[in-house]
Amino acid sequence: MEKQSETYVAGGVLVIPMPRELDHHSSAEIRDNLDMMLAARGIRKVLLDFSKTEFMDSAGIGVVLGKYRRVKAFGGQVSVCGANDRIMRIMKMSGIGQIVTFYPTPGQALEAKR
Amino acid sequence: MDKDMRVGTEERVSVEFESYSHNEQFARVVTAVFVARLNPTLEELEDIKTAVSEAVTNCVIHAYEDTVGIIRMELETREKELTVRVRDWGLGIANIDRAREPLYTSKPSKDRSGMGFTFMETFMDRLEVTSEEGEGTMVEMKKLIGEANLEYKAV
Repeated sequence: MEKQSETYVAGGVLVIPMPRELDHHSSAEIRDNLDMMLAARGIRKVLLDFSKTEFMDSAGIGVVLGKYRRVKAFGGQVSVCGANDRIMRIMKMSGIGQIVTFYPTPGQALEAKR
Repeated sequence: MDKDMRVGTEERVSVEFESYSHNEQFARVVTAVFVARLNPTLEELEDIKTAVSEAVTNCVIHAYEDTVGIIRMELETREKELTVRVRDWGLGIANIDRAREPLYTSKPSKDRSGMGFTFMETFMDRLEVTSEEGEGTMVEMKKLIGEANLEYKAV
């Protein structure tokens, strides 16, 4: 099993690298880790980094929606960066574009969040 | 012509596996290898992998819930058409029409998007769902594999 990249905090933003294949199986692990991080640090901005993600099914939509619901309650934001064309298409198809902001790279996303 | 060299006729494989979530990836890989012989475009291949992933995930999450059961996947090609059947012997679906509605999920507390059947419908040409409560569910999906196949046949 591939090891997940580490989650990190930059400029008050929690950056979560998404796995190479984001499905129901891999998303379960992300959910658990993330919820602990959010609760422990009181962070309100979340950046989901899809730079390494080659495959995503509807479980990825579930991850984005879940994070959005969690931080929305205390005025937080969820952003997505590094998504390839196909993943962007899937997200837009699912209406995710209405609740998250998209950035081409993690750098550009963090710059915009300053 | 050598028997192994024939293309474009009928072929099928079937595989059974347990409803562990890591088998979602296994199902995608098996499907990708089988479909590759039809020379699909990258987009077609991704469409099929996504649809298969949704169908198998439904078996893992909904059909067998916290238990482990058998999932059977059948892959079939007839000329340029791919048929995928995914079946389980789990709980079954009480209301198929409602289950197929976009954004509907029976498990909203678990960060489910409710887009599983919508993705199967979007990424494949046809989707048929048959189910009986307590007996199980079968999902049948079909997709025509595009132009890439024409050049295959011209050889």
